[in-house]
Formats: sequence, structure tokens, C-alpha cells
Amino acid sequence: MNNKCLFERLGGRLTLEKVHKKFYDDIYADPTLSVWFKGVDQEHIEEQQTDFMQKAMGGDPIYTGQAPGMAHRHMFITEEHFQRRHILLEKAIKEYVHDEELIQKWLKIDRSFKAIICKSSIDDCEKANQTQEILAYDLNGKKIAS
Amino acid sequence: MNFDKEYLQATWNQNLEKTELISEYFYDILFHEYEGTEDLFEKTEMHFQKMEFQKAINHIINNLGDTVKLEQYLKESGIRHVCYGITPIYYNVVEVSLQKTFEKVFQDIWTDDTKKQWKLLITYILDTMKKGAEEVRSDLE
Repeated sequence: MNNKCLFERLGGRLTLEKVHKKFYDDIYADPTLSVWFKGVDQEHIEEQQTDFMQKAMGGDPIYTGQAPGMAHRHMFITEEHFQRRHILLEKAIKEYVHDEELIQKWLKIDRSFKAIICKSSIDDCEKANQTQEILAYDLNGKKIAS
Repeated sequence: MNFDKEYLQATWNQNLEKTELISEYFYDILFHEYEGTEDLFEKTEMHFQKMEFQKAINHIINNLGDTVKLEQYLKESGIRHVCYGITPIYYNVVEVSLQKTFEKVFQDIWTDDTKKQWKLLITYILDTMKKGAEEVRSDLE
């Protein structure tokens, strides 16, 4: 039994920042995933993801954004998109974390959010407001008509 | 798990209109009977939360026959709830609220058998979520 929470065992915020920098560098360069982040400031999204995972892994709860399900409600993200994202996350974690147990714990927590982010139909998407657009892309990054 | 899948799905399908009220009933009961629980959702749009809850219950009922898939789904839900800061004490609160919710939804057919079967399902749902939660709790708190 280790008394430190996962966040501390991973090396704290600095590790999360490094991993998320690499993770989003790869996402923003990926033709399948980059389309979801058009117009989204990369540094902002890195910081949000770091804040969220810091809280999720037992660190200080400084995340003040929306819960993942709400934040992604207008996005038609499929299991295939999530899997692609998961591969890039694993690659980024492995660049900075070398303890396989910690790597798997991080991935397990991240994977637990799949069910509330992925949708089986575009009809499951919901706009937060009238001006919000439903986002749907195929695996080639091509927009799908909603 | 000891519940009767066919029985549960039959009662569900015979009362489809009423099952659409599950999330309304559940949060009403939870917030009225357990002071402070509403605070857990202060940053949440309840309209969305209720929709997600309804979807989750639908998913569980539709997958009662696929225990591998269902167990993974419920364990992952348990993990997420640790990340949201939900401690074991809330499982008892949710268990009672769910029992009262299903009793209200199925009040016209609420026999001893119906009560027993839905209680078995609720126990299975929460026990499986707790299993998932306990896999990560010591790492996250």
C-alpha cells in the first residue's frame, strides 16, 4: 500500500504538464483528431486537461470546467476516435513515465470516461445553446453533415 | 448476480412510458431526502445530468444479457465517480433513492416479486460500481 496518491506518485503537476504538451502536440498534428480542435488554443486545452486529471488523480481539485460528458455533448465522438486518442495518450505518457503500473493506472482512469464521451449516433449529440454547432467528423477528418 | 433478466426487461418494456420519468423521480427523491446532495451537482446542468442518468439506466437494462460488457460499463462508472469525489457513503444514499425511484415508477405492478427483482438489480449495479471504485480509490484519495 502506497500512501501517496497517483498524482504524487507520477511526479505531480510537472509530469502531467509534460505529458499533455506532448499529447496535444501529437493530436494537433493528427489528421483524424486535429479537426476537433479547430480554433481551440492548444495551451488552454493542455491546461484544462492537466487541471482535470490533477483532480481525478487525487491532486488539488483546481479544475473548474465542465464535467467531460457535458463538455463533449455536442461532439459525435466514436469509439474509433477515442481509441485513436488513447493510443496518442499512451505514447505521450510513456515518454515521461517509465513505471508500467503507473502508466496503466493513468490509462485506466482516462478510459473510464469513454462511455460518457463516445456516442453511437449523431442524434445523441446535444447543443449547449442555439449558437453551438454539432461537431461530427469521420476518421479522415472530413466533416459529417448533421 | 441473481436477478431475473427476462422478468426485469419485461416489466421495463411493459411500462416504457413511465420509465422515462426515472431520472426526474430519482433526483427529486435524492435531493429531498438527503440534504446536501444537491450541492454535488452545483456546477452541473441538471437537464443534462438527468438525460445522462436516463441513458445510463437504459443502457443497463438493454445490456442485462451481456454481463461482460455490463460489468465493464459499471466498473468504469465506479472509477469515474471516485474521480468526481464520490465517497462510499453515497452508495447507500443512492441505493435507497433508486429503490424508491423504481417503486414509484412501477407502483401499479409493485408486487413482492417485482420489488425483489429490482432490488437485486440495484444491488448488482452498485456492488459492481463499488468494485471498480475500489480498484482505484487508494490511488486517488
